[in-house]
Amino acid sequence: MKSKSKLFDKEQLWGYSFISPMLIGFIVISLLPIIATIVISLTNWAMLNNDVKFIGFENYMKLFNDPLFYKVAKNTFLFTLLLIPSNLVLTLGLASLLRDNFKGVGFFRTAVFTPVVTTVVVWGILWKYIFQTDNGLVNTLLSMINVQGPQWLYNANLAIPVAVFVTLVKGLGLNTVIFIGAMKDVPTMYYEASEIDGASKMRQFFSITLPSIAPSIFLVTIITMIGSLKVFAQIDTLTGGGPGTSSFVFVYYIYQQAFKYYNFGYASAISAVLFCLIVILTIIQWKLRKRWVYHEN
Amino acid sequence: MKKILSVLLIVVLAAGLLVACGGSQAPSQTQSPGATNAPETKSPDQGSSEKVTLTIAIWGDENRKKTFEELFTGFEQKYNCDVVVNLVAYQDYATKLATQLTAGNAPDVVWLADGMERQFLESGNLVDISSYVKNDPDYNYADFYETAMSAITDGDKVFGIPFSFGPRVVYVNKTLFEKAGVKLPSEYLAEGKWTYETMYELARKLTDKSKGQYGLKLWDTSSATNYVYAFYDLVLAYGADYFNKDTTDFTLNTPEGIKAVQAVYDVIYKDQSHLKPGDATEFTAGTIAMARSTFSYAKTIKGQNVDFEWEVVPVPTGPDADAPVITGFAYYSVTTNSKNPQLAAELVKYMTTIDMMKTMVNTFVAPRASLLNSDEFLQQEGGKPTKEEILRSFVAPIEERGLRPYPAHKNFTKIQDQITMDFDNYFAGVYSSAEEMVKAMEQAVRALLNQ
Repeated sequence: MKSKSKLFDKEQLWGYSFISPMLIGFIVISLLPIIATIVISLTNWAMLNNDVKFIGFENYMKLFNDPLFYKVAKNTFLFTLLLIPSNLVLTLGLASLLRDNFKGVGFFRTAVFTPVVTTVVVWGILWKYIFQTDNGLVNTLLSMINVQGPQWLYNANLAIPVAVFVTLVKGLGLNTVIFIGAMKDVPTMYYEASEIDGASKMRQFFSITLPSIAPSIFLVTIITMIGSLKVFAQIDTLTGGGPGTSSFVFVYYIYQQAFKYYNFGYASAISAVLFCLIVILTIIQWKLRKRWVYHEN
Repeated sequence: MKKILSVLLIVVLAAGLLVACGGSQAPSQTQSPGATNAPETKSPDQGSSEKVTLTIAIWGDENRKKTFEELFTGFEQKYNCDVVVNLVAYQDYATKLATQLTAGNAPDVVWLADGMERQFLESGNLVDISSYVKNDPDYNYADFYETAMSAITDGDKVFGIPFSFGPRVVYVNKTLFEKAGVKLPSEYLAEGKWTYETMYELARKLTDKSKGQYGLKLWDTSSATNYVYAFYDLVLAYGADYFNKDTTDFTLNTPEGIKAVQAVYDVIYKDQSHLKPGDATEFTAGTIAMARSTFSYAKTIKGQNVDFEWEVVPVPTGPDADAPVITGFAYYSVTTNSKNPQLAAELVKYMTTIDMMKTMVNTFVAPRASLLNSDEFLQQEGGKPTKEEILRSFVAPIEERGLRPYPAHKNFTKIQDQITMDFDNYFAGVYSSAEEMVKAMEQAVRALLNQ
């Protein structure tokens, strides 16, 4: 009995040793900065101001009275609401098309996945040129059919949708690969049985494929939601938050407050609110998964 | 054996992680704004056997870094030290420097521009180098334009030396004018008729959308632009101003101010003879007849071996023909983080002597009066711009109308952002008229001025 306990302790030690790099990384890179952010959000710390004072919840009070904060929240949610459904529909469609092995499928899979490995800043700059006002690719093509294209990136109503489009095209590949993997795991006997029963392809997709890959859809939804709430690089390179503040999103606002105006206290308060928002939305989705995720180990 | 290797791997990984996350130094001692910050006046310790290393942060590209490394060789030999050049992207420069100053590991010598100088001076992060530059008759401190020094001095204290300034000029694609059979801007200038109205009229004549040809580019339309700087000379030319003399009030909401703003809008959207915001076409592409830019842009044109003839004329005059030439300045400064402020001050002095500035004149035009009339400045590489072009477009406006620096205010970054956002909204159609935009701008900027 004694030796078993010793062995158990030793095994535990080995276990902890193996996870320690990840654990230390998590503590140093994630946990401590989260705690520091919350502490800083309770101060008036501005980078070049050495007179740092504890000001309680003043930053949070200021935040909830800041009209720009509500605009930023609205823009971010609009971005998320546009991105998640369009992403799911397109990636599920692409995965259905690219699931089977046909001649040339490798080329199409590579083509869809290539944007994923492109640096997001390069991607943003490239699309900025494509959406240039008069001499961009899109408006040049439109002018060939005598249509004058709008100022895509200098239009208060178009800035967010264009940023969503650019983000969507960039991220399609990864989600498509996740769905292809999940679809390939669906037992073929389900499809065979449904074929005997006379089910159409559409019926098979909605009654067999979708329920079977629900855990993957859940995963993709959560990842896309968190990614959209944290969107920054595309906005920074495409519109710089403009025109005006029409494409200001949470992280862009945090960046502006922290690294342009050096209001680290205020920026930390916005970060803390965003953090809570992501946690709450993830918990809600996690709870809801029981209602619509059927096939989960 | 496997276990030993595993343990070693874990230790290495963990140590690597800790090392990667560590390394920051303790914050420097705080110094209140306006503190003396003067380095001791003793001369650099030339006799010491220990070789000192100075760091300097610059923006630009690898070629510029290489040029500076070569320029520092003479200084390194003279003072038995090493000078390390750190290249920092301009858009990250102020943020990085602020972070380094907070962490106590900022470079010894830095470049400052676009309002950074006031920010870092007022936060007590710059060293007073007056004793190094004022007491040496050979250095000729009085040669620097007084307006260039105003933002970087506090009474008798000098916290930096300007090495570059950038009044705007207009670059003209002569080939496009000749093809269209239209009189050149230089001819209008000779007749004393080179005004904004003339420029807009010429822009209309030179625009040919079927060829993707535009008459005018007033500013860099490719990306988010600071519209305060982009339009300041134009606003002054129309007899208006963004601010009053001591930057305590917003003053653009006048008939003159609205006219200046309306004129910019009209040339873009009514005449359609100006590139729209978001268009990245460059003057060097050969499809823009006139482009307003800084004097240093000539180097870019020369570097691209363009296949058209070009000339330089001054920025046109407006209703206020005596409006001063407004510009920003770039400075060398010594930071309070420097462990060798005396040597760092010597480096600043070394780089800003008249002889050194003459050797740099094809890259940076320094605001030294004697430099502007020197042969080195007037005879540019490749003979372009010509001496006549430089004199008429750069030197004469400064000598005739005087220089004025951009205004300063503790909230200037926020004010610039607000003005830029309002112009953005105007160009995006959020505001229906110049009056509406200027009125909204007035309300927002006044709030920031009084904060």
